[in-house]
Amino acid sequence: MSERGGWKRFADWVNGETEAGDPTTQYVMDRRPARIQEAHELHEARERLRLKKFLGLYPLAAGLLCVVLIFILLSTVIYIPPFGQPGNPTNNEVSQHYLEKTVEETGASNAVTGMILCYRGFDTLGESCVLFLAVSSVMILLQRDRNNTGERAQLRMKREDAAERGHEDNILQKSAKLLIPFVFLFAAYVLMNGESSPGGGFSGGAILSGGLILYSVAFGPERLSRLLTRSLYSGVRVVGLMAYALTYGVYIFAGANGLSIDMEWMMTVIELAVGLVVACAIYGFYAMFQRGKI
Amino acid sequence: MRPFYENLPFLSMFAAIFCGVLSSVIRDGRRAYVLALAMAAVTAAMSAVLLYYVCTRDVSFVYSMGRFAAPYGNAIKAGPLQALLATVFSIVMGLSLLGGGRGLSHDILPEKQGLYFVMADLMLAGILALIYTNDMFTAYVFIEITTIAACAMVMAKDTGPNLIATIRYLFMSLLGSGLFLIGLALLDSIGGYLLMEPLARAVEILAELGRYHRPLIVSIGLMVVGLGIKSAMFPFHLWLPDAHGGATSSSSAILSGIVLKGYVVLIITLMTRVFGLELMREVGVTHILLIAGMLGMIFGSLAAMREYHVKRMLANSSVAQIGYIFMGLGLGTEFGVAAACFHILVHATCKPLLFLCAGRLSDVSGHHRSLKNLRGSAYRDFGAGVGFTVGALSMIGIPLLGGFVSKLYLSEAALESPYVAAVLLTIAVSTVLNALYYVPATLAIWVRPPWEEIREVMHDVKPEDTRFDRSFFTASALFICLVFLLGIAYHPVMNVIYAGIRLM
Amino acid sequence: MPELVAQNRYAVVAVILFGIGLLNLMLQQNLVKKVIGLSIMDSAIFMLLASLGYIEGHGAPIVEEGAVDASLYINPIPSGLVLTGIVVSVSVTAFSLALVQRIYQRYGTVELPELLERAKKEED
Repeated sequence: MSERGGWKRFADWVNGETEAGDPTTQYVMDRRPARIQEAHELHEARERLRLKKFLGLYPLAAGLLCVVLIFILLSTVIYIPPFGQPGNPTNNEVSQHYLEKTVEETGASNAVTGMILCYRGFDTLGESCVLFLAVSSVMILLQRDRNNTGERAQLRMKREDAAERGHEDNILQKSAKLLIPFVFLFAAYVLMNGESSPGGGFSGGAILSGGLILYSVAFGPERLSRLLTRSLYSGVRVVGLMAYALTYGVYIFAGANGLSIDMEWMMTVIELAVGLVVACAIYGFYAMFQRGKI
Repeated sequence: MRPFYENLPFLSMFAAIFCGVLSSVIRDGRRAYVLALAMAAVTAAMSAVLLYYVCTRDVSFVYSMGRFAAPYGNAIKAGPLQALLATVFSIVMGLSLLGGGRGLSHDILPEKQGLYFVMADLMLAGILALIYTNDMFTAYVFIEITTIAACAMVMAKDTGPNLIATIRYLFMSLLGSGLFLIGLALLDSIGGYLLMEPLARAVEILAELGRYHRPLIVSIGLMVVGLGIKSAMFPFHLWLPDAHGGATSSSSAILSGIVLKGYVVLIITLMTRVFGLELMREVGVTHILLIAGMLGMIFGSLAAMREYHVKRMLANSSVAQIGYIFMGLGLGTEFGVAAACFHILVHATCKPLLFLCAGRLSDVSGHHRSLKNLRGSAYRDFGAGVGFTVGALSMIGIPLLGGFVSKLYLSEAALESPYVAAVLLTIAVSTVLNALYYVPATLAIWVRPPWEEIREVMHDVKPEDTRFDRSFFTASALFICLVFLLGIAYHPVMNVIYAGIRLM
Repeated sequence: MPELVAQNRYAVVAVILFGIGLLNLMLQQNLVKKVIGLSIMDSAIFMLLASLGYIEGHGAPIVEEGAVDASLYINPIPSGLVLTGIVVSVSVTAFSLALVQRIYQRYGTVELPELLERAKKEED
């Protein structure tokens, strides 16, 4: 390409002779790997071929792998300790401790509640964070903004709202009016009685959000969003998780450092906080999927 | 009453959780950004203090999360290795956010920036918990936190290809956590404990007696493969290039620098603390890791050579670098694990540097991404050019830079293993392949193309894009310092790692 | 062999369900069906986990007054883990469905091959 020697070209390049159109630069760039020189169409065609090949081969390989995995698992699980025997390795002193000491140490007679809120409360805090994160990421995705809502979508939403307002469902509204207080009452009952019966923060919160969703369906989301405004919603959501994290943080700090703080009230606070977090999360999912705003 | 420094791991995790929750009510994205930076600085400082204490006293300690001692309550465990990793990861997190700040405000809608920092903060909390955890189920929960946060960080840019990359990433990750969970269930059924120390004793007894041999092997395999899928082990790496290549610079830097490593750290914890290296060697899991690692080193580099999109090239190179780490683990010796740990640190500093610099270079070149359009871009932002060069040279393995030292230690660790020849050959081939795509990329950014091309590339560049970016410059300079630090003062770092593995 | 299967019947069923979910997740081309497969897979794991804690003839782990004896109740640990796991599974399902919805808004399809083709076309 050029009549100058290789060394000279290299020296020029090192000396920084990289003026526009300079043959040395041209040389370096011409020798660059094919990927930047390749014609666009060629690359495209090759990519398409690769995609096709991938889509053809992939199910075969994946299917084979899955079947192999399932057979390995099947031939494994028949050798695990037999179902329902009291002598299995899982039924060791830990579960015994949970069952026999839970009333005394945590004040909860429901051993599962005692375990997830006290003994292994850090997992439960993580789990509440998962719910919180999931709502936040659904918000990133579905909350109305200029990326995901065109004018047509907005028009459609307006039309739907107008249609809904015109056709109020009498049966639904009357029965909802009747049911909702009981739903909330039941939610409160489940929420507060998690320590001594099946239930607790998670179930209670889910029932609570069920009541909210019923209200929203019967009377229209606009009426609900006048009661439960956006700032109130995010406030409750944050306060719930914050209360949980703070209470549990104090509890961990005190417990690990051997300080004796009276933590009788902890279970109640945590149950309530979990209930709020769960209710907000499920209602948030519903509202985001339905309308893209709270 | 325990000494105060033992509270630091717990405090740093909770600080991250608090900041994350708080960020969701901050309307102003700028403030959430500052909060996230402050949080990273605070956790880094706490972890550094912890590192100082555990190193000078040469201890590791179990911290019970609550009133109830192990095995009844949750617990975390911290030693020199955990403190070192937490310090480095917090610093990398902070610097990645600092360096990509302008990109963040460009790529993400203002009203959603607060939510982005929720993800970033809680992801750091998840990673810290994965490092410190001493309980299998806590590990699972925090794996899921990290997964969701990482996926949300990929899709925060909110373009079509981003969404597709995210859903592929999400499905693969969830498959990985599913496998991990079923492995955990099997292990629980035969071991009966969730806390790592009692579980390790139970596993040891089972292995000695030979009872439940098959469930034990299968559960170890499932856990390692599940975590391997999430950290892009070789045959399961196909989701990575799109996810890391398409995200905004900060996200790419954080994902490749920290998130991939979080799962590897968990594998290391499982290997050394729960199952023991001897058992891992006996059941052959290390061989799988070794082979997957070596294949990843080669094929990741080959895939990177084919790329013309600079960030996808870097993402494919991550597959190769993760391969190095898995190869080190696959040697199944303490030296191998230590070398792998060092490579985790090296890659956690180099790759974010490369991603940030690549992002900056493409910002000053009209947001073009292909190497062809980035020619000569180093002259438009000198700091980014130098940073890219240093990162690339470190990846190739030039002395005085971190990458050289980790390759040296990996080769040294390989000398004791029966696969010396294969491992050394793979390292050599992989180094050559690394050079084959990093050198041209570096040359490309330093060589000026003809004027017409520059004009074409630059015709729609806004002036605010080319303005000097102080925060990027700071972050890049600090990253370069870290790379040099790892390359020159590697001896103390290695000592900390050895102590950490001994005190696992 | 049959005794072995009968001994661990719940685990075997759980693994079969897991396989169904896994195959759906990997082989379905429709994103919504993939999400369904994922849910099946998670539920199967929870079934396996829950079956670990059961002890024949023992009652639910709600300790009654005067009957504080571990041999009356089933093992509470797996139940607690399942509770945690279900919440995690709900969260990831919601997240992936939201993602699918956005992809549908953006590209007008949830079939994977079509989706990839349209994305490719747009890129050009």
